[in-house]
Amino acid sequence: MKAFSVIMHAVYALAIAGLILFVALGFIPQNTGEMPLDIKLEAESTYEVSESNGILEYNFSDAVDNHEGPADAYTEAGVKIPGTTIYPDDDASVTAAVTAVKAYAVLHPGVTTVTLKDNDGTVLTQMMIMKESNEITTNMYTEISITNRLRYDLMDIAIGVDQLNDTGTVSYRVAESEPTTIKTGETCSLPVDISINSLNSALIMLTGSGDTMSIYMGFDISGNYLYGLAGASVYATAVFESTTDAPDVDIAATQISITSTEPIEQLPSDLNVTATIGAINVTIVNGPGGFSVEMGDGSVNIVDELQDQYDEGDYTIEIGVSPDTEVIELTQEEYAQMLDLIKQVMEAGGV
Amino acid sequence: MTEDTTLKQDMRHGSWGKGILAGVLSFLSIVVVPLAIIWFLQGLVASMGAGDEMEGIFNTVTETVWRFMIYGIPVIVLAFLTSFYVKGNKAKVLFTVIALSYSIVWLFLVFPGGAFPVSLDTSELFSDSEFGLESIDLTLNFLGIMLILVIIMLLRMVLSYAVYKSNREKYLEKLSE
Repeated sequence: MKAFSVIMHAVYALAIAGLILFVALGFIPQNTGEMPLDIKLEAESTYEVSESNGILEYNFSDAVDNHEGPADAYTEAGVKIPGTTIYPDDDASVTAAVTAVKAYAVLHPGVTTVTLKDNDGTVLTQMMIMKESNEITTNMYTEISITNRLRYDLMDIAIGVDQLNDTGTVSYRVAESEPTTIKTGETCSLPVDISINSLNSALIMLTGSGDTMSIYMGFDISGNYLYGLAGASVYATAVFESTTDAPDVDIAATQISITSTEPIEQLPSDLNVTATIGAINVTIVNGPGGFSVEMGDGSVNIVDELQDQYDEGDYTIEIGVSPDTEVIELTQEEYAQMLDLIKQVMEAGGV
Repeated sequence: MTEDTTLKQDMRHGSWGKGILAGVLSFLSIVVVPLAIIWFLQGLVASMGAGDEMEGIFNTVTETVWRFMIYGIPVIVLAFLTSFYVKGNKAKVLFTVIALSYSIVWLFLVFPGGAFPVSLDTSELFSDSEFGLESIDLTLNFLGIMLILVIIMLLRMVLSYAVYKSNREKYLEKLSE
């Protein structure tokens, strides 16, 4: 029994010491002279040549202005495309570079992407890369790169971005990353695809208390550490203040009507969308004359109509006024998100 | 060959000095030190001039420390009883097992669900700019570590029985003197 007691004492002491050591080492970086974590929000300036001229011009200009120095476009094989030198705050050089890239891509069908590099060969970066968008949805792309200098892997790191209303009762996820493990000593880039539906975005801003036009965003970050024994989740709510007065909001089951004599600063200043979803007509206008959203004509229950269309597997939105119409096909997830949001808006509006 | 004793007989024999010392030490670590921490934090928050932003953290820490103290009172009593009886005494094993069992419950009373949620009101930060950080809600989850602590406590229960068995004979000899 004496021997058993000695063994048990040793096991117990080892368990205690091991746990303390394991946890303590987890919070001391391998190199104490460096920060345990390094977080950056930026994406390398690589673009699909098939993007529209407008999108490429925006991205070229943004990347070079951000870099504050000239840059050239290179193919994925590292070939410098002639005539693509872009200078900061120089629209003419941006337009010329896009034209040169498009012409080069026609002559070389194998070239699908281009990357901007400066004279030293450094790849330029952007905080947010604009992607092909349509009248309803704006798509953007960025990367959150995290360098893990801690002793253990960071597990299941997931990041999400929500748009909220001012009371936090309506939430719409605009960006999300897949859960990722970041091994110790490594840098991992989490791709973040951002998709903002103008209608959803406008509706959210106008629900809640209705006395502010500010945009509220929620940043959701979670992950596990110490081989999954501990974890953390953070939800930060930020606001982008607007000085615009609150508009008149009228939410009914068959019609949503929002009118303001002032435009919303955070939305495009030339926004003018006419859309049809099933039997529901939608118009969104933002400009010098003010901002307005009209959804439904008062005769059809909006949620029921959208739900019917969803159940039938029809996720299309018709943009424009006949005969100049264009059909946009949303994914099932996008449509479900829009439907869910409209339900939330109705609920928040007391319908 | 010494005669064995029952639990009832064992409960009559103990050391008041060891029991009181353990009780006082537990009282210091469970009540006095946490109270000092709250007092220190109050002073720190006041001297830093950090008002609303720190209030969320301070309130959560204070609530947790109060839970630690209030639910820790039985631990003080059990610490007295555990140390009151010497090695080899059946009552020592009994109260050690009770104390460790309660400690597991205590752990989950202090940190419900193995989580520590903190809410920060940061609306006063960046108040002059167009961008404002309204609030931060942070939840630390250490259920896995708590489960390892539970295993260690279960190990400690087995250890207390081993200590009892290896000291039982010596205890009975001393008792018969």
